[in-house]
Amino acid sequence: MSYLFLSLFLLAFHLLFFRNLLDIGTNVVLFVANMLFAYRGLSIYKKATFNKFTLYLLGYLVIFIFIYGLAKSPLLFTLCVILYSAVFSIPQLLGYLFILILSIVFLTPYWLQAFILLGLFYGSTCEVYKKTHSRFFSLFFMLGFTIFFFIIFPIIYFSFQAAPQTLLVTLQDPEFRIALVNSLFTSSISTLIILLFGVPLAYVMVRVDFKGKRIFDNLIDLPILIPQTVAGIALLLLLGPKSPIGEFMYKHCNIAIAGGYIGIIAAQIFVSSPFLIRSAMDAFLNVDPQLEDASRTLGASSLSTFWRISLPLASGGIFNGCILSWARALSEVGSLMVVAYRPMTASIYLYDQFVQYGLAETQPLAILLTITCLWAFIALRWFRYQVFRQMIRKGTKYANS
Amino acid sequence: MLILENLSRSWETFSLKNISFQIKKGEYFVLLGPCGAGKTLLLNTIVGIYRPDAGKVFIDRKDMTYLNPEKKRVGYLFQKNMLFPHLSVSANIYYGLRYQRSEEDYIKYIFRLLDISDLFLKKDTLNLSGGEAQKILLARSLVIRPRLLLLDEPLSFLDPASRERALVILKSLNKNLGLTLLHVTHDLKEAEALADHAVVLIDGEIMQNAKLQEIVSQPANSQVRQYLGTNYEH
Repeated sequence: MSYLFLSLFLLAFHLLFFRNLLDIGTNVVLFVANMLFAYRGLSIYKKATFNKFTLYLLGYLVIFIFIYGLAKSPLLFTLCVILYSAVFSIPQLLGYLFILILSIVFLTPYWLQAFILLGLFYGSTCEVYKKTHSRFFSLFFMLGFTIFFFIIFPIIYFSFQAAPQTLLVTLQDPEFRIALVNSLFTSSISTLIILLFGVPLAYVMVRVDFKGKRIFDNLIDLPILIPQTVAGIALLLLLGPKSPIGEFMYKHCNIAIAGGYIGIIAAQIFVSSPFLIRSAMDAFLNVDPQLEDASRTLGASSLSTFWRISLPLASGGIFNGCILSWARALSEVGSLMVVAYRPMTASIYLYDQFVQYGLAETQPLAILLTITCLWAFIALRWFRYQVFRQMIRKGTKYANS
Repeated sequence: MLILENLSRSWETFSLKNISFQIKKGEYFVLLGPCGAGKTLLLNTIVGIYRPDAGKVFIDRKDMTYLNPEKKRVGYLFQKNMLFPHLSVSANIYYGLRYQRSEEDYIKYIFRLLDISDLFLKKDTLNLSGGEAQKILLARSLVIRPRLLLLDEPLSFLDPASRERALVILKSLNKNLGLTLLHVTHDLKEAEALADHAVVLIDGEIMQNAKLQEIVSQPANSQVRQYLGTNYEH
């Protein structure tokens, strides 16, 4: 009986008040939405406490003020009301709905990006709170997430700026393709070289206390400290066509180091080595030296022990270092601009296009490069997770015991 | 079998001073001492993980003072569970066989002695009980036919029930294999259950080398008395 009464009341209300404000179609849809809202409200009123019902009405009011009042969009309001009545009893979804409303009303130009990020923020904070039931951790997480806003927002924002068709057309650009292949090729080679020399260094640094170790320890981080352009100039002075080494190589081997692949690889090794070496050091630090001692008492030499015990146990961390260092090499621009502008790597090509043609032309290129890097990065991380999961699990269990 | 002559070694602020004693072939030798007495440092020096600053280590009448651990063929059970976490049980046990040959029969005999079944060999090294881990560690050191076996508080990570069983196993190794063992412990009761002779090491020095009864009835000095006193309170 009450349902019927309510329906009639709503019908009359819509006929009288909204006839002049809204066109007939919107009015009908809004009427349906309001019916849904009212029915839901009635069932809440019957079952739940008075407080909950007040909250329910208050929510409606907020939506009304924000969407109808501020954003002036009856259709969106209708949609929100339907969603609101549907998700009212699920607090987390309700949170998402209000985040959507807030980003539409207050961050209109970026509403989609803002909604994705804020939703992520809200969802993960909820997860943290669910796990810990601690306001401290949730607050710390919220503080930390602010950094992510700063990092992810530009990337998400500009990823939405180009149509897929433009991206496909850009992908056909042969110069870009060559640059991309150059990038992937050189950064892989430089990572392999760092792996070959950096892992032994990391092992010695962790296992042996020798005089002057501190100096080496600081030297490892030197490339992070030095501005990339300075690194480029230094390398050019050492390996450039006028330097003794460059001249010698050109005369006898007919190889130009600067302005060639070797120059690119040299610059990439220079800037990305700290990442791999540091990760490898951390990884070896987590391997108990007594395990190595145990292996040696069983007859294994130092080399054999390294190969059979230390390296497998540290492999997860080392591989992670490889990914980081590879990614760093891939994204290098500063030193390459000085040492080897050509053959172009993808990041240099991007810069080149930007200088020549401006922002609009470069955007799809930038998006494509981001997608490629991100895809490769995620794939590698996933691969690491799959292959080294066992090892990591055992390593942590071991470290905690 | 094992002869230590005036062995000295300093490590950070601690040092071992003039350690000398002998272990006969086939003996079950117990080294007693409180925590921080330098027991582990001594074992590490004997096995070759650390080089001694002075003194000599003879094993099987050969001077092995400066030999690397992999050349000495001395079994060593660490105080902590030192299973290789990334290897299976069988890979752990057979680890040393790449460097040291052993007969099939001998390995089977060890397995029988330690009650290791084929099913057990296939297990993963995660989620093993303390007793099971200890069995694997023992087997791993035994299959390479060690000249002698050093045990650093081998019962420390076992629960009381498996401690009893481990004591029986250790004694049977000594009896059935004729293996020479150097067992390090801080627990006088454990020592009494294993041997009747012991060396007491306190603060990096050997305080007394005598029969256990004698150590209890006539402690060599106040430090030994104090150590025994705290030991009986437990």
